[in-house]
Amino acid sequence: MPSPFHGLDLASRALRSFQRAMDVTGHNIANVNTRGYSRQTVDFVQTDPTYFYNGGRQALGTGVNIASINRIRDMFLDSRMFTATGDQSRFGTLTAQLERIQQVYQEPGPTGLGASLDKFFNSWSGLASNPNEPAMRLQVRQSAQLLADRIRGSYAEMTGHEADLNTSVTTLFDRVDTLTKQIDTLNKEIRTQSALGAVPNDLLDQRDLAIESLGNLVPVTTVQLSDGSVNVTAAGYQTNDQSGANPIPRTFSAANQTLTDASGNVYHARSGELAGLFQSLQQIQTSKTSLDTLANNLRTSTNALHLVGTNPNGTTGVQFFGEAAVQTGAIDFDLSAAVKADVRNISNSATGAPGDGALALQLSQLRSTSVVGLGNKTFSQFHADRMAALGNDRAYFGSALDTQMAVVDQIENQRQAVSGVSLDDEMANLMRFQRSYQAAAKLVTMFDQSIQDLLGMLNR
Amino acid sequence: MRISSQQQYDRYTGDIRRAQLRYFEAQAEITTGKRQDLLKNDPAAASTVIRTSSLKTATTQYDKNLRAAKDYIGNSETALQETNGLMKKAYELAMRGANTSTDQNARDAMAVEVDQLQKRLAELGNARGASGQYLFAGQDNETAPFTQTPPTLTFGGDNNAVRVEVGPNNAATVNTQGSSQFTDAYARLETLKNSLRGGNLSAMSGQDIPALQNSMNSFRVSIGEAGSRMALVKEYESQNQRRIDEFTTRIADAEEVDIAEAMVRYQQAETAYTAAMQVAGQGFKLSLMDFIR
Repeated sequence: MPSPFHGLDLASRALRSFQRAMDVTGHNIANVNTRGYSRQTVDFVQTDPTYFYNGGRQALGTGVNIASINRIRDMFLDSRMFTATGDQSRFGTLTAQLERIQQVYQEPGPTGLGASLDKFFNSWSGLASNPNEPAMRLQVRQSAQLLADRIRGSYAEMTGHEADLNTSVTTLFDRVDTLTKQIDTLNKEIRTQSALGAVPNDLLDQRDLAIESLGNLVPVTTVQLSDGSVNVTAAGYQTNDQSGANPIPRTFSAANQTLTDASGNVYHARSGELAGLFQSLQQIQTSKTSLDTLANNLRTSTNALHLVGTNPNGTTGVQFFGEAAVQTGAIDFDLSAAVKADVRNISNSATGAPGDGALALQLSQLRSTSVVGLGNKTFSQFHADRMAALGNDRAYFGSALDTQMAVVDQIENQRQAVSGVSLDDEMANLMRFQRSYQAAAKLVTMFDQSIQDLLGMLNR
Repeated sequence: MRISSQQQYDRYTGDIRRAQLRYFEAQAEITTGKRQDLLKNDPAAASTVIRTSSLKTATTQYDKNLRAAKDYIGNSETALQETNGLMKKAYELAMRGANTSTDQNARDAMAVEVDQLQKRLAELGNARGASGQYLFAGQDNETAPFTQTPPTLTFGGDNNAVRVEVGPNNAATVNTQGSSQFTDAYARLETLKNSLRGGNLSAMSGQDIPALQNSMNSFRVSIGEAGSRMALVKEYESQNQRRIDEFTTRIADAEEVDIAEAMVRYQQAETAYTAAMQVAGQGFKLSLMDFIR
């Protein structure tokens, strides 16, 4: 026969279960703004019945208990999110860096490199057409100095950006290592709790968030193990396994988008912020090479003509731009010392005749001369084509970023639909569990009253 | 499908952010009159702007060069006109001197006048332009080309062309080759002077007067050539101005916005921005908590 206190036991179990349910609901509400939090639900289960004999074997229910507290999460959406956010980070990083590169050139605009090139050739045209006017020679030197300063300055800015990006790559490796250590710590704790039979929902959320953050930086794949831990590979390199966290290899090649470990194994980083940084370094290198090509060909073409000139000082063989035996590119592109020292070292003529502007005319007509070293393009075409390529890249990656952001938004909406906390839902649950608790409390009161009545009968 | 609170918030703030961005882009277009971030939003148009700006700058320079050309040609033409005037004066003196009714005293006085004409001729041969260059010296134009050592005028310049860049791969000659005209004219005036002093009427009639006519013709031809060059320069100026206008239009088409269209876009963006904020304001107010007693 069930004990007289069976009802009280049943009611108190109900009270406890509904109390825990309200706690879980409160936990959901408290974490409504927590990034990476998955809402938790309570699974109730009937407790095992008790049996008694009353004209036959009878089963009597014993109430309710909590079977499990579950977090609602879709692993498939998580895996899609790793890929999507990795690509978004790549495009986002690249778009931002391309904008920085474009700002160096300041095109299209009156302060751009193209405008400086035009002013340079124009000044030779002015000198060719009015070689007796001293102001024309000064203008040649001034516009050439401006052009040299723009080219050198642009190159120095690109070099600065390159150094910043290399620092960003190093910082990214530090962040990756921090995250992999965090994942390792969580793996160990989850393994321990899982061995004890618990389902550590909050730890699982934190680990998923750490892996997602890692996926923003480098391409990530995961393998779930039966003991609850997760093996993680970043860019194909095993960063987390049963033995612990392994620091990511730091030897990299931006040109090939690869990492190389101490044993010489090569790993490819094709998504994530790291891929964006690598591609940005490639873009900067392309821009620097383009500036070097422009500078070297300006030197060669201008000096080839100017060297045969005879200047107003009567000397010949004077370089216009400083040129060493081996071309040095844009890094030190500048006027020659002779031209800087005395504007009259600028030649307008091969013969030295003051009214002869033929040499200056040839230098002016360089603007429309196809140069072999520039791929048979004129200087302006070469520069305009580089700008068009930069613009097309910006447009392409900008559009790719917009598309990828829409994809990420869509996946995030789906994740939120599954795992997100809705305050309205939690309010309704809270009401439900509160009413249930009230009812269970009423049960306690009523069963207690019944026992009081029974004891009262014995005392008479 | 469930809508979580975070999703709601993200949707409202995302919509506001996007509407705000479009609003500020529309505002920037109106205040600058230009399309924003052209290199990214329309690389082809940006490339057109860069190339066309380059052509426009070059054409503007050619236009400036034409001013130097006009100075050279204009000053040359003025000097030649005055020189031709001198030769005409000498011709008139020769005609009077060759007249039998003119006495020798008068012819002596005419000879002094011819001497003055010679001095002035040498000065005109050494005429200078705005930059101080000698107009009839060829390319060696920083030294006076003509040196007067009576009874001769010596030319020390050269006969090379002075050229001005007027267009792509196009340079025009602006100077007049003056060497032989001035030296010949000086020599003819010297001969006339001697004929006047010597009272040699037959020389004056038979040689001096025809020689002076030749000099006048020669100077008139040079004046005509200078005039043609000036007309050509003015034609280049018109062409350049047309090209500059064309380039300006092409650049404007590529980089400028239609203000009326931009205003409409601005209005639409402002409406969308306001609507996004209003919807967010209304949405945030709705909560089950307000209905639970």
